[in-house]
Amino acid sequence: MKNAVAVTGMGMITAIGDDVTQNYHSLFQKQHGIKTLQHISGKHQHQTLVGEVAWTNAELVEKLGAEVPKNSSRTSLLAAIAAREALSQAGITVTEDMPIVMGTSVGGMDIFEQHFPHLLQDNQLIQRRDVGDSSRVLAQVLGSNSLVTSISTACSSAANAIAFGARLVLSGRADRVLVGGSDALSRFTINGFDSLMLLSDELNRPFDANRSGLNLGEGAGFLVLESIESLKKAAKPILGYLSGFSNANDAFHQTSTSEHGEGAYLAMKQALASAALTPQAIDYINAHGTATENNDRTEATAIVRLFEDQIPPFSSTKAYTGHTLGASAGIEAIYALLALQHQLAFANLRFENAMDRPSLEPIADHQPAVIRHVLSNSFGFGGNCSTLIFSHEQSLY
Amino acid sequence: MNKVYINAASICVATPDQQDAADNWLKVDLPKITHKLLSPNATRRMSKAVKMGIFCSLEAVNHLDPATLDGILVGSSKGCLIDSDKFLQSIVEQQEEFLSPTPFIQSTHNTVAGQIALLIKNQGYNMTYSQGRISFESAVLDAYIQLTMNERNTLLVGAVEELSAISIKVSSSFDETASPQQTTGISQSEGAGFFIFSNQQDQHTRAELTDISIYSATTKLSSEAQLLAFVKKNKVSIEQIDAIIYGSKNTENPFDAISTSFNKTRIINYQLQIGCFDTDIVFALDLALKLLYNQTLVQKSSPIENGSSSYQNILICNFGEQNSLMLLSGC
Repeated sequence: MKNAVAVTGMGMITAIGDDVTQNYHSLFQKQHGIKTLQHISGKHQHQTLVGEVAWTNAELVEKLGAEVPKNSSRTSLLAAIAAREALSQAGITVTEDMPIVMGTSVGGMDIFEQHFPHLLQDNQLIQRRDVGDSSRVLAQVLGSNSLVTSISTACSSAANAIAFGARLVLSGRADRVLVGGSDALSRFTINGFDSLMLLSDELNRPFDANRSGLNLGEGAGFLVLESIESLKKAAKPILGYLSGFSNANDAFHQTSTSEHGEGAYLAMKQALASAALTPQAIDYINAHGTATENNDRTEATAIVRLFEDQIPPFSSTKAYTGHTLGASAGIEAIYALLALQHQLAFANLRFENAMDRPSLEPIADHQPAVIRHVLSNSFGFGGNCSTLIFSHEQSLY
Repeated sequence: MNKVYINAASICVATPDQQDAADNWLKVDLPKITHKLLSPNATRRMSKAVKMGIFCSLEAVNHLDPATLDGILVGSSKGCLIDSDKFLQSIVEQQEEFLSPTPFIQSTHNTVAGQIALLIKNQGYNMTYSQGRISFESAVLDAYIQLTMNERNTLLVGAVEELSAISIKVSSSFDETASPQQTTGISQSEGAGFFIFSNQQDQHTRAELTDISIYSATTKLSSEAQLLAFVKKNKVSIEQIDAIIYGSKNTENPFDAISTSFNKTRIINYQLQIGCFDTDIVFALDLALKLLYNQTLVQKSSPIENGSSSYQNILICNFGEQNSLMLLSGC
């Protein structure tokens, strides 16, 4: 595994918990976090089902207990909470020289749209809209003076941010990096997915024959990645390894995926090659599984193409959190690491009936198993398909 | 470690004539795109950002066997602003009812990279970076690492920004005193630039990208110290740098604050020529490639006197919230 980097910290906030422990507890108890929208006024408030973080922005600032710039986006606040937890677990107090790579789809749209088009004569609000502003605020809160950058490739953003962070480490440009993703719910994305008729008015049911679309969610998930070489000098607990990563393009359509899931197939195949693993080595797949007709059918098709008749247990955890867009791969990276840590493949909630073509069943209940390698998928608009592979702490040596 | 070469370049920016006549906002005249891959129908639906991206990409990949292209990396600070504005406005005006999904679909930051992939049927790596004035350099850094580590061999790397009428209106509606022209004398503009990066030299190779660095100037490590350290790391002396081409977020000349180290170096700010946009550094890269490849630059309103000096090493600097340095060498 020449491409492996160690994970030494993880932190998150989602609709099912304010930290990693709470998230694991909710997963374990099969408690989802999908409720009607509370924080965003307008047509969708108290109507549309979403995986919303319960806290208001003011409460998030209070939780953070840090000085934050005026009108900081919710995206940056969620990111800061998750990032703080990850750094604390990795025992990192000095962040000055630590690069930050953040994935997000719409950045500070949540705060910008509240004032558009009347921006309160506030120049800063214009800036808030820039995707890179949320990561800039995050770096400011954390006190990083190193490279700070953002990747915005829709729903695979965080996976690509994690992979780029790994490249910074593998190339020797950094000993450790903070990587992940954050996206707040916004009127912009809720109405966007609504206009595409992709929102379900029921609780989402990934991979079910009767699935009727997705529920949006919000949150953040961040990891600390460190070089194996530098950990040899200063040992600390390793939570698992990022052992493979890949990104490929479906090159089929801006929003829908090709019939045979070509991009998804290529991403999974290339990630396995980068980890030097065969498909048989994968013990659990945390699928993208948005519960839209198109995604689940084509993702399942790609899984069948690659794994043939030896399909590992797979599930989508979006039934718990909703689809958190640019943050999803950061959040689900942590679920993959929790699956390794607890040797447990998570139940795909609300699964009842298998799809027709392909006929493929996710695990309907939690499944204790020997889990050494977990594959995590994230696919986005623009044909953007990314796969990460996480491996058990004892799998390398 | 492999070396990184730049084998093709295409940019689309405002002309100096336009800049002379422009007000605060300087729009690019879109070149007509005629290409066998594009139907007129297809281009009609494309936003300006996508069109500029497609135009430059097609030019940049012109000499390339499409099968050898391993991916597309784009930097864009503001992304597809026109469609994003359009969707925001429809939410407000139509009170969230009967919204057309088209502007939402096209508002996604990675629309340009995705559309290029779709057009040239590229299933390789597809990445979009968005981080203010270092959006392009983030993409360059990613490409540089992958090429030097031999993860991939040939990549299309570019950047694009578009102006949007709605955003201009919103910005102009307040803070009249701080309009861009009055604060910096440089218009807000738009543009694109795409380049072929490869770890293989070919007959079209323009220059070598020796190194790239993105950093924040801190009290401990000033811009000057970072710059000198970067040059030294790459085993080049300041005397060997034939020109420094720089862009900046601010009006003041960043080199005024820097010591006499650069007294003898030709220093060029390009933004007076084309206006400024967050990824305007693509113009600096194109200019550097031309200087290294042609050795002189004969161009109307060029800021560079047509000297006989030869160009071997050019440093490109970008100063903003984060700074960047790119060192280019002639091949």
